[in-house]
This record gives sequence, structure tokens and C-alpha cells, in this order.
Amino acid sequence: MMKRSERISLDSISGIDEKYINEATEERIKYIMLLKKRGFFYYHKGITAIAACFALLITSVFAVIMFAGKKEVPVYTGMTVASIPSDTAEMPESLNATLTASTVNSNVKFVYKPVVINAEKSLNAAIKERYGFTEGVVYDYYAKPGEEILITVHIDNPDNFEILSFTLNGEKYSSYMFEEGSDMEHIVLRTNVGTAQNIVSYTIDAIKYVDGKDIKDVKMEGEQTVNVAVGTTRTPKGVVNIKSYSYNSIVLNAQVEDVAGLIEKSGGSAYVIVYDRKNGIVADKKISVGEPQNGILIEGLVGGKEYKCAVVAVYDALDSNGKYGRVLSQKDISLDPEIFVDTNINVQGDTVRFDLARYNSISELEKVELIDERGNVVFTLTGEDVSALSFSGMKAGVYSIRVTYKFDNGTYTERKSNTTPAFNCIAGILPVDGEVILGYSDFTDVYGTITAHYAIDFKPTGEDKRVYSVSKGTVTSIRDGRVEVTDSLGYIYCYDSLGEVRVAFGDNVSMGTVIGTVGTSFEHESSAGEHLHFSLRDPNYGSGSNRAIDPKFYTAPTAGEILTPYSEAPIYNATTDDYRVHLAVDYLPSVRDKGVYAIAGGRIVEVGDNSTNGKYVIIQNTFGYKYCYCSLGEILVSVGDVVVTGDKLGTVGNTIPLEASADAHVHLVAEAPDGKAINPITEAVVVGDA
Amino acid sequence: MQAVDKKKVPLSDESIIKMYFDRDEKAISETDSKYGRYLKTIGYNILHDTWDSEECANDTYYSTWNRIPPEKPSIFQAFLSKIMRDISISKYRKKSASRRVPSELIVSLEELGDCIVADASVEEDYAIKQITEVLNSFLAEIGKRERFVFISRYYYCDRVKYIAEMLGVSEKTVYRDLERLRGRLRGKLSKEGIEV
Repeated sequence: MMKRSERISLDSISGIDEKYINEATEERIKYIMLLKKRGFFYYHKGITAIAACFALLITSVFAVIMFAGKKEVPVYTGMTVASIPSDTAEMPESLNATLTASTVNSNVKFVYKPVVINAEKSLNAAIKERYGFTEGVVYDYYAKPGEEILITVHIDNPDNFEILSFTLNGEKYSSYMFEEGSDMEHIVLRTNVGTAQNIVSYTIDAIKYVDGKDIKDVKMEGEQTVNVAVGTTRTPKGVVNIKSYSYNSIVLNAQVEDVAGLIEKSGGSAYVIVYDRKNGIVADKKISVGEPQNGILIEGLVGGKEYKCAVVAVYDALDSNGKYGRVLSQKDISLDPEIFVDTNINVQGDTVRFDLARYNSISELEKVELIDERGNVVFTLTGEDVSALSFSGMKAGVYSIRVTYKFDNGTYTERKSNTTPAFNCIAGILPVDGEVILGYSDFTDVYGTITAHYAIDFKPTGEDKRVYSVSKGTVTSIRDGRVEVTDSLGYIYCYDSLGEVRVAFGDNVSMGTVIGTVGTSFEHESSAGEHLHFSLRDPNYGSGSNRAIDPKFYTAPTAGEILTPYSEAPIYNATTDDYRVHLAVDYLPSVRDKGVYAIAGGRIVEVGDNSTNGKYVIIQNTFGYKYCYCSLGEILVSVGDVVVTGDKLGTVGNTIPLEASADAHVHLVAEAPDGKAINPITEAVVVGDA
Repeated sequence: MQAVDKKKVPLSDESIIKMYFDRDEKAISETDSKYGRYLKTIGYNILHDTWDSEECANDTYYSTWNRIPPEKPSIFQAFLSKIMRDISISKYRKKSASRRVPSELIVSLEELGDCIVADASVEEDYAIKQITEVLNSFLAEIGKRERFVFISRYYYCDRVKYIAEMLGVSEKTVYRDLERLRGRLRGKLSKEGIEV
């Protein structure tokens, strides 16, 4: 079984660049060829070996002469433990058959290196500092559960008496049970350390030898017991979770499992800790092992900081590394209390949509405000209203959004605000004093060519041929009768087909600044005569020229004509055959498009079907103005939806009973916040504090 | 496999590779004839078992047959060595899944344990990536002979005695070289911020 460090070393070595392997292999070819020529036998080594054998022979003869008749009692000198050696049969010719000294009959310990912890305040360094590193008991040998080991009994036996048997842990081992390779001075026994993660002791009691006809005891002088620490891979496991947190405290749930009982056996402990990079461990609590520990409160932390919480166990794994603390599980936590409005603000028509990032459990949101260019609060959202995440019904202008929140900083309740960059709302503001001659479409007749028209074309209706900026921004491009103005959010307002250009690159412009005059410079549309080709590119949408979005200059809910205008004076109703006020505007659909579109943004507050309105949808904007689209056929929206100018609400129908004899149309009603009916076109479309 | 005919002159690597491209099955017997013994040495270093080494060599020939074409190795012996090593290590891993099996591979890795130990809290894959980068950088800095010694010992798991015999020096010299190289590698790893 490979250790983690061995696996890592092996895989790292395997990743060595191929060029080095190739180079080394080519060298091997050369060296192997040289080796074949040189041969294995080194003359000088052979001579030394022969000389050594001769010297030994002389010494042996001398010893026999000197000590003839005098025999020494064998003496037990100790035991050693080793791993099982490899199979030495059938070695390839080119390799020497002798194994290296690191395996057979030697004192091998499995080498585990304790982790040397970086002195920088890493989590491990902090643990080491706090819980110390003790050597613990160092055992003679270490093995894994189920490991087969060799125990060698060493006997000083110069007269080579025959060793008959020995007793180990009370069990007798006769000579026929000795392992192959044993001799009268080194008796090898194979045994299994067992599967229990424990300290296994081997004690040799008696060793018998044969002296002529007598059986005698070997003299016991060495240490008679060796201890083998049988380690385990079943180390403690732990988990920590963050249940909740406030500005200066954390509540944690943690659990430590220790099936092998290592913590208890080594007198260790388990802890939940909180750590920060600068100060190390800032809090810790001892926890018991086994059952889940819930609701652990850690206080005294600092809001706005990044912390780690972890569960740590201190124990000796019986792997020769001693007792020390190890991290079982960790989690990051940030106590940052701030609430931001997401910077990807989306403006469409009279509606701005936003997101509240980092809306967390520490801080309490107080309000979200729409602020105009002069810093005045145009509207405030609080409580449930915030969930709309939008302001709709803005008048053309420059705005920003400010979010205010409060939190407990440990001493008092603190209030903070964040404000977005300023953005443009261009709803209701037209770049030309005139009318739309061609709208935004995926597929339409563009002055004789059927194609997409991702822009809106305007023609002046009076003497004023000027083109006005619809937004606040900077002139970022001027080229061939085309001016581009970019605002602070990255929206690009493109004024094309200009005759004269009256701004320069880099100029800052505001709403109403004169950009130039209408012209015929846009060659694809020169047959349209003098006009403005206006397009709007959204930095969040698509790429390149496909980023042109619909500027939403809608002033009507359908593509068709007005059937019946708004009238506070009674007018004839063919269905009821009488005269009555018409506090609404009726629109016919166009031949191709039966859709009904929102003329302004807001939230769908009601969808229904009744005898007054037929099938209807009511939209209410942030400022409390309502638009009711009645006499619908199909309805495509639901209560709660947030829509912007130009969103499709449904299709034209003929469901309003009081106008049943008219052609299918949409009956559009508008209402001020006080409930008073107003003209949807002239009075209601865009409002705001201007 | 055919018995090695000691009198036969082995084909050139280009000729053998061409046989693979021509899908001539004699390519395998020629490969075995020329490199079989060498490959089994690599296998034996890792597995310490002749039968397992033989099996891995056969798997190597099979893998080579499937890879050439489209691959065309520039150094055929290195190509074969790498496959044999990978297959042998894979077999070793299976063999040693439940118990520690002694091997020259393990001995060489234990030596490397002097200098390559990753922080227990670091993800294994990430540690391997980091250490491999440093290893390659280290190999670039040392000399050709030192690279040979390092790769022979820790990539091919050659015994120190065999490396000494190849170089024509004493084992002590090779042990000393390896110790010095490990020391330098340790220093480099420490410098790169990899905890040792």
C-alpha cells in the first residue's frame, strides 16, 4: 500500500518532461553498450575478495587451535523486526541477485516524515503553535494492520550450537518453524501483527539449545520485548458548517468521528477553531468526539473580516510522528456587512432594473432610493416594494440608485449607504422634433428592401432640423455623418445619417445638447430623404453591431391606428347606441401585428376578465400610475411580472362588452395615483420629479 | 515470444517502426528480440517478479502495436520504456493496494521522501502539479550526467549498484551523487514555497 507521499513522488516523477527521459534513455543505451564490453568482473575487487577469504581461513584455523575444547554458552542479544523481503528467484542476468540492505533482516522502520509547517501564519502553523507538537512515545517499530513481519532473534553463538526452540509470547517455536534463511545466530520467525490498531508486544521468554545429549537454556542478556505500533489509515474525520452569523459572531455545527479511537487512546482532543490570516487562531472551543455538536457560538469577531473556521483533532496516529493537531475540515466565512446594488443596472425605456448583491443576514436593508441628477430623492422603496427590484415610470433624465442599510457593529447600530454610478433614462425624449418614420424591427420594409432595422428613423415635422442628444455622455466617435455618444454605463447612442455635425470627439454632452442636423449621409437609407437613423447599443447584450437594442420610443400599445380617442366629453358609442365619455384610447392592431405592448414599464398588479374591461391587464409603475390594457384576446403576462416599455402583454381581442360592435382593438385606460383617470398618451406615459 | 537468437543482428529502430506502420506482425517479435530483456529489467525493478514483468512486457507490445501508427516515436527505446514503466507501475499499484509490497520502486520513493513531501492539507493533484514543475526546472539546471543518475534511480528505479556499473564508478560515488542531488532538490522545493 503506497503512502500519500510516495504516490505524490511517483506521480511527480512520472510527469518529468519527455526530453529528459529521452536523453537519459539514449545515455543508457551508450552505457549498456560500454558495460557489455567492460564486463562485470573488476579484477581488483576479485583479488580483494580472494584475500579476505584466505585471511578468514587462517583465522578460523588459528581459533580452532587456540580454543579447542573450550565452548561458549550462546547468549541472546536481542530481537529485531523487519518487513518481508522480496522474492529473489530468477533475477535477470544483468542485475545482481542480492537485495539491498534495506530489506532483509535489518531494522527497517517505515519512514514517515512529520510535516514541517511553514513559519508564515498558515492555518497549519497556527495549529502547531496552539496545540504544540509532542514526540509522544516513540515505538521500536511501526507496521500497518494485517502486515506480515519477520522477527529475528539474535544469538551470539560462536560455537554454533544447535538452537532447538524458543518461546515467544508464551508460544513455543521449534526449529522446523524457523523461516528459511535462519542460522544458529539469527533465527527468523514470520508473523502477522494483526488487524487491531494497537501496540503489539513480542516477548521472548526462553531459548533452548542442544549441547551433546543435553538441552540447555541460552543466556538471556538482550532486551526481551519489542513493541510494534500497528498504525491505521482510519484516522479521525470531521465536518464543520456555518449555521448562522452576525456582524461579530458565528454559530457553527461540527462533528468529529474517530472509529479507531485514536484521539482517546493518545489522550488527545478535538476543537472547533476560528482563524484569521493575520492573527492566527482567534477563538477555539473544545468539543467532544462522536455526537454532532450543534449551535457552537463563537463571539468577539470583527465585522468586515475574512475568517476560516475549522475542526481540529489532536492525536497520535501511531505512525512515528507523535501527537499533534491536524485540520479535519475547514470553511471560509466573510463577515462583510455591506449591501451593494449590482452594477449591472439595466435601463429600458422608463424602467431601470437592478439587483441587490450581498443582501445578507448581517445587515438590514432600510430603503432603496432613486436619486436624480441634482441629488434629490425621486422615489423611495421600502419593505416589500423593494422586491420589485425596479423603478418604472421615470422621466427622461440622469439618475442613480442609493441603497441604505443598517447593522450592529458591536457598539451601536450603524447606517451606511452605497450609490450606483449615474445612468440615463431616455424614455419619452426624442432626438428630433418630429415623428417616427420607421421603427425597430427584425424584419420589415426598409425603404424598398426587406431586411432587419435595428434602429429608429425620425423625420422633423417642422422647421427645426436639429438633432438633440437624448442622454448625458461623451462623444466617443465621429465618422461620415455618424456620431456616437457613450454614457457612464457603457450604453452607446448612435446618431446616423446626419447632415451637419456640431460636436467634437471627446465633448461631454447632456440631454438636449445639439449633436447636429438631419441629413442623407446614411447611404443605405438615402432614399428616405433627410432623416435621423438612431440606434442604441447595450454593453450587456450581444456583441459588435448586434448589440443594437430597441430604444423603446413607444407611444402606442399597438402598431395600428387610434380607433377612438380619449374624450372627457361624451361621444357616440355604437355598441350601446348612446353618448358617453371615453376616458381611454382605443388602438387597432396593424395588419401584420396583433400584439399589445406596454407603453411604459411597471409591475403587473392585476390580470382578469370582467364585464367592464373584458380580458385585461393592469400595470402599476413605481410612482403609482396605473395602465389598464382592456379588451385583450390572449394574455401573456402574470401578476407579479415586471415589464418595461415595449414588452408584449398579449394580443388584441374583442372582449370588452361595451364596445363589442367595434373592430378588435385594445382599450387603454390610465389612472393617476389618486385614482383619477388621465389621458394615457399625453398625461401618463412618463412621470417623475423633474 | 521467440527465443533470442544471439547470433542475429537486431534490426534498426526505423526498420522495426516501419513494420508497425506496414502492420507486419513480425514487428512485435523483432521488438521483443531487441528490447525484451531490457524492458523486463524495467518491469522487474518495479515488480520484483519475473512472471509479472513478462506479462507487462507483453502488454507493452500490445500497446505499442495499437499506438504505432499514428504515433511515430523519435526514440523507440524511450517510447517503449515509458509504456513499460507505466504498465508496471499500474500493476504494482494493484498488487500493493491492500498491503505493502517491497520493491526497488518503493525503496527509491522512500529515498525521495527526504525531499518530496507535500503539505497534508494540499490537494494531491495540485501538489503533484507543483512538484512536477519544480522537478523539470531542477532537471534543466543540473548536468547531463547528474540527470542520468537521477532519472535512472528515480524514474527507472535502477539499483545503485547497476547505475555504478553503467558509469564505471563505485556505488559510494553514486550514493553520494544521489544524496547531493536530493539536497539540491530539497532546497529548490523549499525556495519555490513547497513545504518540505
